[in-house]
Amino acid sequence: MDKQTSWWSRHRPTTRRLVQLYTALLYNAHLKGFAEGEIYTGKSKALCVPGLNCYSCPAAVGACPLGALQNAVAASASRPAFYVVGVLLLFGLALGRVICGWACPMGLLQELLHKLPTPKIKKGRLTRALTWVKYVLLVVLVLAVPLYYAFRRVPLPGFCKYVCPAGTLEGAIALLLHPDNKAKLGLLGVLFTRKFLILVLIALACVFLYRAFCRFLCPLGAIYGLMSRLALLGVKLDQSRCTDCGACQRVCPMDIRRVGDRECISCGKCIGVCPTSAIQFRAGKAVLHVSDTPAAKTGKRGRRNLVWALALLALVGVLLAVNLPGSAETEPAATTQTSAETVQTTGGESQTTDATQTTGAALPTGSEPGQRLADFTVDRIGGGTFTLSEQRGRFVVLNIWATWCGPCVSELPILEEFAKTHPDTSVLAVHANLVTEDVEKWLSEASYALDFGMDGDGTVSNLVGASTMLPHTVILDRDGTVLYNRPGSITAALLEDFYRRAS
Amino acid sequence: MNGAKKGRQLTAWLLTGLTVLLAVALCWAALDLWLEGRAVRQTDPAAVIYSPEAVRARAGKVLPVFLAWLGTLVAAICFAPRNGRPVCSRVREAAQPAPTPRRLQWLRFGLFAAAAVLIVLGVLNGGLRDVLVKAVNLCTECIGLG
Repeated sequence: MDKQTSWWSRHRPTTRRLVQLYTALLYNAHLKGFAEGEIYTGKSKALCVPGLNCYSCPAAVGACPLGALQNAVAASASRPAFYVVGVLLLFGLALGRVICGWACPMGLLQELLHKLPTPKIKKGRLTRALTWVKYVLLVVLVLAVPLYYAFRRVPLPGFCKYVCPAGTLEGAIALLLHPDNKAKLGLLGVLFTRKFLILVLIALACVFLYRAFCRFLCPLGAIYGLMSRLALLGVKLDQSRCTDCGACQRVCPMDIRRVGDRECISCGKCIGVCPTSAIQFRAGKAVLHVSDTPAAKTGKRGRRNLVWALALLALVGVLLAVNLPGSAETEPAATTQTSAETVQTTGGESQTTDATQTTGAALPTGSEPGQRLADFTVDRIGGGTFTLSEQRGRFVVLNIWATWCGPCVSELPILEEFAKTHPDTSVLAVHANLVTEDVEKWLSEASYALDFGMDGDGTVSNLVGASTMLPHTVILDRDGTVLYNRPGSITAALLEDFYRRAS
Repeated sequence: MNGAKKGRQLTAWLLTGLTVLLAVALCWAALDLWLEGRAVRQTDPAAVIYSPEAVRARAGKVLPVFLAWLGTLVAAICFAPRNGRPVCSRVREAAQPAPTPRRLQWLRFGLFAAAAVLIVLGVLNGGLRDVLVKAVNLCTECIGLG
């Protein structure tokens, strides 16, 4: 068979596809997360990756820049968002929308969907106009909504919560597919249904429209697009050689007006069609031969192979570092603990006693519904302690929350109202062990009429079997028996229902 | 129009129809599941809407459409030529890079410096730790679990 028409020459992946696969694997190197159904909690998650990749994906080893930006904006009332803005500026100036074309897992997924052999919708005036939607989403959902709620002390990452298909696919669905997370299906309701519909519609659009999400909806692309002209790396046009023939615009699947504008993702498709060779892939002043150019096939092959060998070596290193047993876990991972013990969280010191001595009942001790929760004592914020065994005879609601968790803060008024209308109940909102700001100060400004505790060393979370998901609520009847123990938001109706049952 | 081309077109349109049908079936399944669950939740607020049994039942209904779609996709891939073949680059003569305007260079340099300063300030004011805390914990509603 002729070499030019062989199956391999027609189907071999381009350099860009290999880089896309490489970066997708690099961002999601914690592959054992899929097997364990848990997210990675290593230190590398403090660093943002350049592309859109949900940090709630079980395999993610870095933070999503868009999610981090929204959370930083949401926390801007107490701390200016210097770090994330600096990182986005750095990525935008160094790489621009090359990130979208070469280093975004969502871009790769969209391109694979577009490869389905169906008729395609061509770009035109309408698609060009629709590219402005992502700027609207950037302003409204990424900046305005989190900022508005920040001053109402509710962290709300608008784009993540209402639109982001990466979160639904990589975070929610990837986590829930694991058999160990079957119980978490109870969390799903209207929000998941809505986001699932959005995901399906976006996937459908991507089959018929090239990179529909990237072109019309992605606020991260909008941010990088604003810096396209300044980016060091990317496809650049030499104006002096350009004859305005329009060949580049015709071959481009994106809605560009000219090479290197805000919509150009530097895929390099136009380089080969330019009759005057006015388009080049450049890094500053250096010209890069990233396509399968004759030059790359001859003189530059050795250097290219060396670069790939080093890159693969780095990838193997990262894969080993994050997947080997005992790989660094900086944050205390919450694990299920159903042993009989009394835990004193004061000052981070624990003391253990036989729970049956304090409960004195035949029910097994544990955190599952129907079991009796082991006794514990936790420091109340503002003074005093809360001991579970002292609440015997009262209906108890334990809520694990955090100031940085939007749904947690949103349900505090529900708990407050419930505690106010039911004096025979004990409602304790325990702040998770990871804090981002002064919780006491935060509470004094918010002034909730609720009992708050501080889970300094994570022992309460461990005791009730809370995972890394927040909020988490445990409801106990008057004997201390667990009625309800689930992550996710609660409603007033749910509390009332359990209160009625316990009465 | 020869037979092979007609066959390709027919398969492409069949795949289009089945793709839309699959998307509709998935949306319908999710909506149906939620509407049914919402009705149950009116009487039992702790009821699980997406219970494994309910999900399995809906998946069973979507499965035939999915299998038909998959079969057509395989047929379409066999029939159709490769979609979106990359354009091979043919650089005939290396162009001299156009000089970047000096003003643009200064702006770029200034913004790089600003980015570096912001990152350092962010690390110092605890922004780096904030990112870590949020990335190693799951805010349920932020990923659509709600």
